Amino acid sequence: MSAQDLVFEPLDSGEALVSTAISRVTAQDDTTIVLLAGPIKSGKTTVIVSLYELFNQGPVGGLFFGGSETLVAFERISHTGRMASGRSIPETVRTNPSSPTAFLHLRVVGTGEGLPKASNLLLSDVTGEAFEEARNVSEPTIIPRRLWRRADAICVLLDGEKLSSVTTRHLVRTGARSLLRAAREANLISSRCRLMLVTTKWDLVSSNETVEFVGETESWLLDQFRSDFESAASHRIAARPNSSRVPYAYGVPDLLVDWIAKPQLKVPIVAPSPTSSGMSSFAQVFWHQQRELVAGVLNVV
Amino acid sequence: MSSEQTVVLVGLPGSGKTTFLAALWHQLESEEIQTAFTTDRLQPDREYLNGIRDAWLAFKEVPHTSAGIEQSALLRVRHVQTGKKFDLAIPDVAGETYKRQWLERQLPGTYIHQLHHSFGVILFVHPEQVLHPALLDGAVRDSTGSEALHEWEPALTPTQVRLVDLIQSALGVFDRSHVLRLALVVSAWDLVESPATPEVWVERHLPLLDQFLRANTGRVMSKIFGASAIGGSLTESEMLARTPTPSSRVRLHISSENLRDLSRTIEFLTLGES
Amino acid sequence: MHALFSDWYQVIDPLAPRETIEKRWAATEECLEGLDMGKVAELATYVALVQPQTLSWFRAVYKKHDDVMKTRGVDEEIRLLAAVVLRVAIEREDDLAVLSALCLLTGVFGRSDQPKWLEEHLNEAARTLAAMGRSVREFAETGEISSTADGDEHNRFLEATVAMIKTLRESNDFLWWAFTGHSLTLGESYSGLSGPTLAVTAPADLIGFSRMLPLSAEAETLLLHVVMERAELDAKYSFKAYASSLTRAQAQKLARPVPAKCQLLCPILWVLQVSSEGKAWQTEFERLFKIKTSTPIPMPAFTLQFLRELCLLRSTHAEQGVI
Repeated sequence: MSAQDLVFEPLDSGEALVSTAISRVTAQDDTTIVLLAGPIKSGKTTVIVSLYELFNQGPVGGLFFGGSETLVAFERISHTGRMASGRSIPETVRTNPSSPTAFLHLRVVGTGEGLPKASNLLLSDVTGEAFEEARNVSEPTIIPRRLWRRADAICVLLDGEKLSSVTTRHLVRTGARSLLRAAREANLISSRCRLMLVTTKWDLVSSNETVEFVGETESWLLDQFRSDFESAASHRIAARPNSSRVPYAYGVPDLLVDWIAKPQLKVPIVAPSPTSSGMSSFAQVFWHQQRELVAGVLNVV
Repeated sequence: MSSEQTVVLVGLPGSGKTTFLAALWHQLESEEIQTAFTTDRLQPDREYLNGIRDAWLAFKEVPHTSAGIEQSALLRVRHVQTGKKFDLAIPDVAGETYKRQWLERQLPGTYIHQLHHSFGVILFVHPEQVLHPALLDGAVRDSTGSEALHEWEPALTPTQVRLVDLIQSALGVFDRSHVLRLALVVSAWDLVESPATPEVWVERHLPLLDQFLRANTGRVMSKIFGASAIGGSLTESEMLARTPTPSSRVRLHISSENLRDLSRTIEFLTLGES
Repeated sequence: MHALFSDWYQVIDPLAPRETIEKRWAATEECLEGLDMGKVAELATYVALVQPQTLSWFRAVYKKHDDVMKTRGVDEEIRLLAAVVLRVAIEREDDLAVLSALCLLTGVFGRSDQPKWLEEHLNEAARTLAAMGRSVREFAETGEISSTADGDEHNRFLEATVAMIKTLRESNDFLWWAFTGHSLTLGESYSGLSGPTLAVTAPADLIGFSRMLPLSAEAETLLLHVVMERAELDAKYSFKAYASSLTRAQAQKLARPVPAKCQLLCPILWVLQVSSEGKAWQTEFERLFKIKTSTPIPMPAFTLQFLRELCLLRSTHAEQGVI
């Protein structure tokens, strides 16, 4: 046995990345950070688990699984949804409120038009506690402000089961509004952040009346908060449906595609401001007539 | 004369590494069939290779390498078509070592050294040892009696996840511009029911791994093979003994081609895609 | 420290300690001090293409200021820092600023996976070029010089007058060019050229009349006008289509040699060069530039890109710099 035989190099643990460790991913690749926020049991972790399980079965939304730095963490949280756990009913382990915010990493590769495009995702669910702290304290510590502002997307989860019940639906609605309002007032949202309203447990939304209510809620929230974000969209998912009429992880592939969507940067051009020269006058005429047309194709600065 | 480089055999315990090596050695050394490589007359360290080859010939269980003891084989070969010579070091490392990577999150220094000086990796998977993730059906509502809950443990991890982790760890040893050559060998291919091609089998049974390989062609140059080096279960040994030569017990499937020469895997690692 | 540096850096590490940010800034300043044309081109190439083994001189400076900085697994960080160096250089509005802006803009053209953080730097590059283009062409109009003025003042007055005349001649020539619709480069009328051919020809003609760099925003507007007047705005052609719209003779007239370090920043000039030699180019193009030759590109973007590539070329010669 040589001396080399006794040497071991540590591997990365494969566990979830705490917020001070995410630079392991963000310093290497362009990374999209997604925060999932919502009340307890609204389904935040289940969304993540269902996405992972989908990849275990095949490509998702036309995207291939390209690797993960946090495979061990994914396995841990998926365990209680599998037969090996000894359960007969799938469950999701609740995020421990006292553990630091942790991110799961997923690299996905699309081979659409053009060359293969890799996207790196860091996903984290925001505990109610972290959110409350951010609302109330000027320098939050569970999720520091700089981390909030680094988020590329904030998903606000609306519990479909609670929306289906007349007694709880209004709470869901006002809860989401209060969350977004607090985020705005605490200056947690950066101008490049996108908003996604995600109604979960869609399999439990069965009446037309509830569907209408959900639609109204989505519009109501989007109208109020769209301008605080770069863009806003809504999704309806059933990550782990209780009924067999809805497929497993319904709506999750579309959500994934939305997370990684990145509009191509347009070539910038400056529309000049007026001066006294003839050329400049001509330019003013051009931009007056053609600005809208050109803005569809170039980034008019 | 090229300097010595390694072919690293990677796989969980019982995935077929040693059996493959035994059959490969026999094919090269016996010259019973035409192989892509020929061996030099002078082969140092033949003892281990001969030992495992003899067991294979006699249809005995090829002895699995015990953990902690690494056997090393050195083959001096010449590629017939191009005339190129290679010195192949083929360490036969216990599957335990790779199993431990997932559990203990560490890589042995020797393994890292081998990777750095390798042509590439042959990754073995045994089709009867694949652990699939079995999801609980959310639609099932009634609880069936007593629930003996099992905490998560690393051993419950699906095979495809462990294989992805093995490849990721190997890649982590190199920097990003390095392209790792990987021959993925589905061993005991004869046990695969209604076999399509090895690629289709991997896509169906190890979809996470399949996606990973397709998504990372910039870092992993891979090729999938189906290999069967016993040609039947050990209880059929009598029937198999009637085949003309031991080498012809062997099958190597590349896409829909059905060959015998196991050294084609080595050819892929040393010379790349033809 | 630049007021925005901390915000820029936090894309890479949102929770980076103050000390780390200060070390990165110190290294950035050192890079800025030693910046030359060759380095500008290398940095812009890295921002566009992230080639892992390159920029060792750059990485070494950052490592020097922070010995715990990782040497591996920091490609995106290096890319961001390279873009920041160019950005700060652009803000200085000196000669290297023009080159930095042009290199940054031309390098990212046609690529489909540019990070979002790059957008503000690209916009600033365009804005600065426009601002500098304006300031070299704007003069205080004074018709008189005082009777007690000395030789230096006379010379300055003369220089300003000459510069004003240059500006006037330039805009005159531009407008005549737009009016007549004739290509001096090809010796053909624009009315006989197809849309994609025009998109390549017009910038070459326009820059032939320019007297100073950078071009003004009005000149870029004029280019758009000339091309859009004669072709569909939303027409999109692939690189392949733009290239094949030219005969070999036309490509030869349009092609110009590019300094080695700027090669990967000028895809259109590269294609013209190989087309003019009659060689097949698509595979090599995709390998080098990582742009698919079949990707559709709107004409205004294509023509603007070629104009900027030509300006880039011009600004390297003007400095007589060795790249």
